[in-house]
Amino acid sequence: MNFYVFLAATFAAYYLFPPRYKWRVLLAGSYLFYALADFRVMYCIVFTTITVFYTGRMLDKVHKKQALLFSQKDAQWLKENRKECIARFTRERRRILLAALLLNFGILALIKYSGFVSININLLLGAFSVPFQIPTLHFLLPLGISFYTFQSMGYIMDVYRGKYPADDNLFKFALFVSFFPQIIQGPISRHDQLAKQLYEPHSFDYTQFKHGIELIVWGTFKKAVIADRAAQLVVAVIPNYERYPGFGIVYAIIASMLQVYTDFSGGIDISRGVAQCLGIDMVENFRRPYFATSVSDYWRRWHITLGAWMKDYLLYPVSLSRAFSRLGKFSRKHFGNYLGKLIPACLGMVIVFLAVGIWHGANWKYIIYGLYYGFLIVAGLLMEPPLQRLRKKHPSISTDKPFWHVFAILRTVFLVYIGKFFSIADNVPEAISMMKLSFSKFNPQILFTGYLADTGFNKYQLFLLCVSGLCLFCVSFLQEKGVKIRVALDERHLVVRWGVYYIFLFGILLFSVSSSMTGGFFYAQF
Amino acid sequence: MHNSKNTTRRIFIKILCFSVVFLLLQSVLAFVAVPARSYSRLMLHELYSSSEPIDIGFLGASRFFRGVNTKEIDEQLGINSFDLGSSNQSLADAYYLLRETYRYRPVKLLVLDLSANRLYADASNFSAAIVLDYMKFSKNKAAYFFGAVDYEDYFKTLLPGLHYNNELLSTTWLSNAPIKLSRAYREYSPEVARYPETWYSGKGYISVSTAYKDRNIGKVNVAKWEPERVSKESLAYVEKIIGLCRTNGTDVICMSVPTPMASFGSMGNYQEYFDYIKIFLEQYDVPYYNFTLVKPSVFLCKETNFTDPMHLNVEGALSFTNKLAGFFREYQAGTLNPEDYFYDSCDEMLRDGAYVYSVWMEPQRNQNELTAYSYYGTTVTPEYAFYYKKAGMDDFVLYRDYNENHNAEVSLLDPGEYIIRAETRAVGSSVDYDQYDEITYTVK
Repeated sequence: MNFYVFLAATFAAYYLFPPRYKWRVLLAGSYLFYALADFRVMYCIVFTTITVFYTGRMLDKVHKKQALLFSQKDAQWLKENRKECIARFTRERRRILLAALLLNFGILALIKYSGFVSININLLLGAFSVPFQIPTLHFLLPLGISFYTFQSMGYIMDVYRGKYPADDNLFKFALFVSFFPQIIQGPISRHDQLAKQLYEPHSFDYTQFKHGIELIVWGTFKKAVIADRAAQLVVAVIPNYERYPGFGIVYAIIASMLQVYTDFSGGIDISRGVAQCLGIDMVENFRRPYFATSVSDYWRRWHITLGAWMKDYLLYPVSLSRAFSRLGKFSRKHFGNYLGKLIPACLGMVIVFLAVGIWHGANWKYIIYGLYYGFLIVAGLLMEPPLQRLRKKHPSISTDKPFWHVFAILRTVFLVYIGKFFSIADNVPEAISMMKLSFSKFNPQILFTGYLADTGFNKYQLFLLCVSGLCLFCVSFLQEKGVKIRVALDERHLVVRWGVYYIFLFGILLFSVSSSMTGGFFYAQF
Repeated sequence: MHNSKNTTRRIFIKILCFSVVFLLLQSVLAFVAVPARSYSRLMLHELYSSSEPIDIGFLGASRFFRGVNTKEIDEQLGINSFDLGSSNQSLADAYYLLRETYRYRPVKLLVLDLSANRLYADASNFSAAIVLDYMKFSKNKAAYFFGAVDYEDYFKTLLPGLHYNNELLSTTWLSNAPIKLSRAYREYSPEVARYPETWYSGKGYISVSTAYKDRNIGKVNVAKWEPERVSKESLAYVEKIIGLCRTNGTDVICMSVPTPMASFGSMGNYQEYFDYIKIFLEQYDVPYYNFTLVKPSVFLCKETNFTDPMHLNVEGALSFTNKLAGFFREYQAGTLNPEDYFYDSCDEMLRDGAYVYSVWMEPQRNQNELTAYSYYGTTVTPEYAFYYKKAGMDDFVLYRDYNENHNAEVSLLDPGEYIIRAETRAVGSSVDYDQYDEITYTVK
């Protein structure tokens, strides 16, 4: 409710203020939003904004210095000194970049991971009977720290690469870092895609605004009706999983898959909807991941902006690094051309997914979770050539057939389901024990016999979850078929259109679960 | 310019039409979903219908309006009492309901319910909606809305169609519309709000006829008293209620209605709650009479007097009210001696309760044993006997005679479905049993 009042006030202010003040309204709104969430940790976002802005300016200066030098010198001089000059400027830029990365990933690591590191070091010291323990520090976790740090680091790396010039206005840059719709849980936007839209004034566009509201309503429906309802089953069963062997656990894991997806994507829909109401187009972060036909396809559809960030700012630099090119040469020499190419690619994937795991949190379970996906993707890469050969030998095995498509989707969902055990359990042994127990009994009927009623998840809740889940499936299916739902809705008769609006509006007002029972947005903790 | 004005006008008309249709749909929903059998509606109507002073007003939630038979009080004392109760009534609700009462009727003595959960921070917000739905429009109603409803719940509280969502998937809503269209409903007949086992008896009192089966109260789960959950806001409302009473010349006392011994035992730290309330009220010089600690010589808390672990049924309310009338007679005459009525402490009460007051069984994880658990007085050691009955058998067969071991190894029985019965009593007692529990159990 508070959020929606805040939104209404921000929309009103944005459209009432003259064009040159519009971006300032957004900045004030974003900082107010952040302060209302927790003003005690605002220093972190201010620190990131200032350090990244000024290091960006410094990088820009080096770029300009280099360009100026090259424009002033004659061809002969350039021929003799170009390489050395470029190396010198690159070294200078690299030092600045390194400082920015260290400062900002440093503060992220200190706040988010220092506790985890010190606990593990202390365990190690204890194992070797060293009579010394590192103090464990506890910090308040600033809202969306991973999201805005990654976004800012993406910006600084782009400036380093000369992809675009650095921002020249600290306050405008502060808006890019803190833009309130994306601060809770992303998406992790790119400067060249978002910043210009933020700084430009937008006048009121009815269709855009309406589409934005539709997206907010849809996101709220996903979050409040589906995610928070599924969460009730998850929070009741998972901490007491031993009491629900067999399908009790299976249903809770499936509910958790639904919960996390609808919570995260619902939140993103709300963010994108809010931005669209302001005339700003934010990048997509989900593309119906449970329709993916492989694990790598799943990660191209799930948290798209994190995947893209990892690809551009981790996988490519690592793959192009000197160490990796040496590894490639070594592998080709010793294992042949095929494996020689594959080994560095696989190692790169494992590193990326290890980073994805660490991004999710300071816990071994997330590291295992990341590695699990890393190894699945590597296995996919290794299996692809033999499978291709098999398909060539037996042309009747066609991956274009609907049956194969459905099988591939179900297979991916199953693999994601297994991965879920690692992210949902408190630790790895618990995940394994939970997995074992889930296979210990075949009792699918418990969903309908009232066995789970003591969790508060009665038949009424089940019915609502099924109906709302079906609604989600239908919308996703249509989107998967290429239907643009909101555009299609625009083309319908007013009675149909309003009918749909009222169904969703009343659906939310009547059947939403109070977030106080389940907590806020799931990904806000990351 | 002209075009832009037209567009703006069109958008405004659209928004207006959308809102009107929304409100219409909400009204239809309210008509269908808001229960026709509302006790708050009848209570408030009765409150508004008279200007006669209230001699004793009872202000509390369901434990009060099910536990005190106001008509019986009136008959015994020849006065005019009224139960200003509402479901899950929070102390904020109580305060605004009292203000509403003063707008129409003076109150001579106010009896305030101070149950543990009324003091907690997370007391139900929805409780305001079910009173606000039927309250007359006034400044007090607006103050109630803004004072007692959470900011987050404004929308849901304001639109009655939205706060009965559970009703929509039950079949009760099918009967709401016909009842609401009936003359009896328009005339506020209590008959329209009658369920087979619950009905509005007038003057705010609600009768419930169901009862625990004799000496089979089973497992009772009453949450421990958690003083850290007490909200400052609730305490502030107690202070406001006391202040409001004193401003209006009303005498005020606090009271708790009886609780079954099993609930009392299940809470575990009832004494801490009792002390907390007593100390808190001392600063306002308000006496606290806790009928949970009532002596059996005054009122014997039998399981059959209760409909669940907290609420008296019609029979219990009548017996209790009979004693309560005597209590008020003495209170008003100034001859009341609390020691005649109450134990000083829970310990004293538990020492006196030299018997087992509830028992229940749970299968062990290995499925070979059944374990009986019980609540009992502090001077007592319980003993247990187990019986079984198979389909087709008329009587129970003794499986294991009384001893202090509370486990029974049921796997020794032949495979099949059984009803297992555990009986319990205090060691040394000569009664057949104090309490029993029965469960259906399958031996594989």
